[in-house]
Amino acid sequence: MEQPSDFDALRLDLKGLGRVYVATWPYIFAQIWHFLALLVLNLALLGFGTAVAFLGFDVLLDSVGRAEPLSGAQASVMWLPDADYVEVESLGDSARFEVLFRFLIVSAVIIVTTTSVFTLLTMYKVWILQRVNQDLRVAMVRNAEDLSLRFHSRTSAGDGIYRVFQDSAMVTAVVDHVVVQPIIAISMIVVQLAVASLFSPYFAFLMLVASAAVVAMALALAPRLQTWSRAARRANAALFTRVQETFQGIQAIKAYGFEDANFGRFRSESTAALDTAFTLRRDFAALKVAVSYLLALLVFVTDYIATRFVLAEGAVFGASLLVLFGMSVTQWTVAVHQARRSRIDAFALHFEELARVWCFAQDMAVGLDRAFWLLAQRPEVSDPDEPVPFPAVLEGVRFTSVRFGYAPEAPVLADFEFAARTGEVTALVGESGAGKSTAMALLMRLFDPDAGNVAIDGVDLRSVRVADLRGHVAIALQENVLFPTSIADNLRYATAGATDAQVRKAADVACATPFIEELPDGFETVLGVGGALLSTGQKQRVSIARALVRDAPILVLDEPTASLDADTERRVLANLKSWAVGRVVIVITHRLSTIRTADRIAVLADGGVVESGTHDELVARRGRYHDLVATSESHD
Amino acid sequence: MTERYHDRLDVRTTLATGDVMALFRRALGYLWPQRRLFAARAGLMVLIYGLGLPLPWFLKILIDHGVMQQPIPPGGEGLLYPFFMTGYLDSASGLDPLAVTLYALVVLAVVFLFVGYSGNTLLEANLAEGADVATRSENKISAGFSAAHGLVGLLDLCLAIRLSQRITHHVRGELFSRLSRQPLTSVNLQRSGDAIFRVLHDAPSIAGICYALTLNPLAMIVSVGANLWVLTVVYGGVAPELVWIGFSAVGLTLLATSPLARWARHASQASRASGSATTDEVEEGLKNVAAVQSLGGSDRQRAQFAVASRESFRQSLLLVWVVNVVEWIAEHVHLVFATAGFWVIFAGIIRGELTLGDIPVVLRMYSLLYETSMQFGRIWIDQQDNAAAARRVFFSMDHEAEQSAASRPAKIPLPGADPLTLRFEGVGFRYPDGRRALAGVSFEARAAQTLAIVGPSGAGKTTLAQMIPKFLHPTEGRITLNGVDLAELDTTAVRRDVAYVFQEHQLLTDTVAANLRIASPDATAAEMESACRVAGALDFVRAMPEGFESRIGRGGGALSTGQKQRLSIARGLLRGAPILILDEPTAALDPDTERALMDALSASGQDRLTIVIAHRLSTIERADRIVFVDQGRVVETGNHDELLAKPGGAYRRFVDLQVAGTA
Repeated sequence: MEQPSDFDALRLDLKGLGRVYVATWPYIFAQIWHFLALLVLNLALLGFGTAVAFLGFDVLLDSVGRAEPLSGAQASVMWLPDADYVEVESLGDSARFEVLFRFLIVSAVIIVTTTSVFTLLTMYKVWILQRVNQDLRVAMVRNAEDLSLRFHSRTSAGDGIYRVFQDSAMVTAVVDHVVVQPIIAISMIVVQLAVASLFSPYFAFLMLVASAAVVAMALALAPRLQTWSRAARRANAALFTRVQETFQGIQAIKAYGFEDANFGRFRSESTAALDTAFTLRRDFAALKVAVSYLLALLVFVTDYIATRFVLAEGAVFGASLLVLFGMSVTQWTVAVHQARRSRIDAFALHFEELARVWCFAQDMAVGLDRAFWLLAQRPEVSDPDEPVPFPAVLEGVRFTSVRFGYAPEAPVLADFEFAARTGEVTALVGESGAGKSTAMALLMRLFDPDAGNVAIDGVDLRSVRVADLRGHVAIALQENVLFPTSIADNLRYATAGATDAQVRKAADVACATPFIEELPDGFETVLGVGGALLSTGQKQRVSIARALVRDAPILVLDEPTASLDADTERRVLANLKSWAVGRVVIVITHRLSTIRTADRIAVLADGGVVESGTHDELVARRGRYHDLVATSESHD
Repeated sequence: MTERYHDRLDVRTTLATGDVMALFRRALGYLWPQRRLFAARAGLMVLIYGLGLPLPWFLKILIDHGVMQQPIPPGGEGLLYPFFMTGYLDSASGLDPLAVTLYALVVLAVVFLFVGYSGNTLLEANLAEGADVATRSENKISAGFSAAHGLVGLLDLCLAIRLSQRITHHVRGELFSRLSRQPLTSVNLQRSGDAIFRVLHDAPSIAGICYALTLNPLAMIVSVGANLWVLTVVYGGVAPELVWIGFSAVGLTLLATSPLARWARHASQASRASGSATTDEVEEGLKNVAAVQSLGGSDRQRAQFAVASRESFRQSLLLVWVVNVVEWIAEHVHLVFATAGFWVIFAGIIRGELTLGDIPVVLRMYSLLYETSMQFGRIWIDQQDNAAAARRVFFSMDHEAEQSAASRPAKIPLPGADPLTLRFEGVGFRYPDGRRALAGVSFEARAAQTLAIVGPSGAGKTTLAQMIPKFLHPTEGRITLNGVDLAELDTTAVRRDVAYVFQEHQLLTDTVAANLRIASPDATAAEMESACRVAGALDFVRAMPEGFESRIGRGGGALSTGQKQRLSIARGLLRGAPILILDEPTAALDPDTERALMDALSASGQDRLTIVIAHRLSTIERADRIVFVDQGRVVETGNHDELLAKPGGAYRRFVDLQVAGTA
């Protein structure tokens, strides 16, 4: 299933690749000192390892293997006197055993130290990477939660989850695979190239030729890898969406026996996800195989040349410089032959690593591109640069010439004029789909109006901070969204610091205390998903109580009594009426019994308020409200 | 652990070694359907190790007979070579050192084209992964490696990836299918983030187990066996210590690392549980984003996610610790043996028994032995993580499924010919936690009737109605359809004949048509239109930009609650079932719309039994029969007029209150 949210291009050019990686910089920068420390420690360790291996070949092959004397540096590292080991023609058997013994001791000490340090460094690295990923994930979730409902109505939760987890995880890999490993690999490649050229410039030339071929192959394959990587991520996100929606809508799926058909879709999406993943990996492996074969050929060719040098007993090209590295010979011997081979082996190893990192980089760029796409969505509703504090003394709420539509061509509200005053209960009535809930969403700034404005005490909502505004407006939603935590926790959802007494008082007003206390653990009873364990009427009362806990000056109740029986409704409304003194209360409702308790009534039709006044005034006018009342009463 | 990660169903998570073995046995069952791929890989493995065996000896030839210019006698007489090299040595004897070098290099280049330097590094195609369990699952789904490079290695790797994928596909399909067949009582307790995590992140571990316990050890045994055998054959006479060192290295690594298994298992259980809690947080937040924003919960949601996510990383870090400690130990075991090996080789060289060319041969064999024993040591540790995942997978698979809830899942077809009679006979229901929801409910309803279930909120109306399509099962008494106990009827068959419209609309992020077709996959456009017309949804659906093909957003986004409710009713109607249950169908509808809907409903299905849960008098009074429920008991039954005639009756009081409210 193609995600409509995926507006991004299928492929990234080099510039796009760069842009994606630059975007990771703030997250990496936050840990920059850790990264620098890690890099320095790693390079030191690697450099040390290379130097030791270099000296080791010489000692083992020439001195132990062929009885050549040690160099001064080698002797001092192994605490051997120069007189017996350096300033001699050749080493005796006992001296060779002594050298071997000391060599093994020294290398064991070095290896124990370096592997231990290396283990600690690995842990350090994982720790840093997790911190980077944590920051990005949290930023993504925060942004996603802040994005307007217009965004959310176009995307699926499953896609969002996939971006937050799988796609964002690539940020940890960036540091590792785009920064740390390439720096290490390239510097090691340069070192090997330099050292190999000291043995003979031919080697350096051949190494450069092989490098060019590898780079060409890697570049050629990059677009394919990206295409498949994006396809794989999309397919996986679709699969996530399927699983997420299945469990979200499980009741309907069960009710209609849709399990098998749904399972069929899951299977075909699973297959699609696996197929794209397979193709991506196959191409990736093919590149690796090609690169490693090419580099093996490089090793073979240089082997042949080096053997020729040894047979010809030629002089080593850069012998005077090699001495600085601790080599003791100036002529081609088996030790030089093997030392040279170890350099070219290392070159090949690091080059293979570089090719691997290149493949990673393609996949990661695609993942990050998707992660940053979510992050780049700017909330349509944002804080003003210079926010005005929320008005202290509240007079009322006013909508002036408001126009708004989810799609521009189909406005839900047009020239909408509406006012609600402090100390009054204002009822907003109208047919379903007329735009009542939409108007309240504008008051919460879940959206901003396309034209006109919404103001509190004459202060435009857009000049107040969003959090400040929402902190002063409490809403009980039509769809009772409860979280799978305890009832007390749900009641405190909007007001973290509420005391037990406040929670209980709100529950009393909403007539929720009696049934809550009958539950096994009272207020601490843990609800199921979506508030399961409670009936709808009970959820509705918990939802009202949650809004009341907030103790906000503006209270919006969206169909608060739809699922309540008449008796409960009457009691809740009576409680609310006395609670509402000194506040703006707006009630959206269809129920005549609820409407009648309101001080003022506004009738919404065709995108605007067509009538407003008290019940008696409106009935007397014999307009829409009169018809509405007539319909209800003819039934009741 | 359970408390910390909000798991309600899966509460016993400790795993003893015996449990682990049982999990593994079960996991291996998934290998059988893939036996052909498996056999192909086993065959390739033999080829790869076979071709790899002579490779190190060419290195010896390059040094001893190339660089060191030692002539090759016919058949390598007097030299330390295994028998399989004799033929080659014969063909190379008498060549000058440069020709020997060239010959060996060309042979190597050809062999490398097929198998690379097999065994040197593993060929794998893993992608970059994150730093916690969830983000690593992608590599597990397509896990695979080959001991060879080259063309054969590539083929082997592709087969390996396919094998993992097929097993994963099988397991996650089965799990998904089972999870969507759980009874509603369990679904309500299971957070959907957890289900997502199990299907997408835990299931891939089964393939890991299948490999780790079969092909991998087999490959290791073959490789270790072959190398030790060659060591014995070639060096057994000259330097038997080399062979003994090789033998003991393998065992010791395993011994040194296996005590850490319990620790690893614990770390990975915690890591997975915390990972699924993190998925939950994102899922809850995104799913309910409208509520979160209106209630000012964005910061809270973010803070909760940050805590869950940090915990998940922390647990993953512990797991990484364990693995690293294991590797550290294994490397030191190796160090001891490598040092001893070096001593023996160079002592042999000083004494003149071995040549310089033996160094790369022995080192390579040792490094193969070391790599293999290291992997061997890791197998058991790594399987602890897989065991934790497998436990979570099998737990959900074994969890009570709906079909099994029927005491006798007989396939009696729903009696269709006779006019339908639904009867409740002394039905009671208790929740698993012991709370009583219903007691002694008895009533009867027939085709062509409208039955209203009425009562105060929390009285048990929904519980009662949900028993009819077998979402819930009576804990006492029985429900019959035409005299047949529902418990004996196939759940699918019952649901085919009972359409249930939920109080909370359940719409998917898909087109209007796709949402409608959930109820009836083959519905025609005309049928959809007619269902929408009855439900009063046709006008607004037509007004949408692409009509029936318009996408509706998350949970039905962009539609008002009343519109979603009408769409959901249309879906129920489209089912064309003889029993239609509407749970508070009109709560979000205005009186006009409601009246139109009720009119259309009674006109559209003459033979249908319609059951309505309602508070609104206007809806109730049209019903042929009213069942008044209070505190889990049926208090009164009868039609509107009969019940109203009972002075002091519960229904009468209920009606009086409503009239008082409106008058």
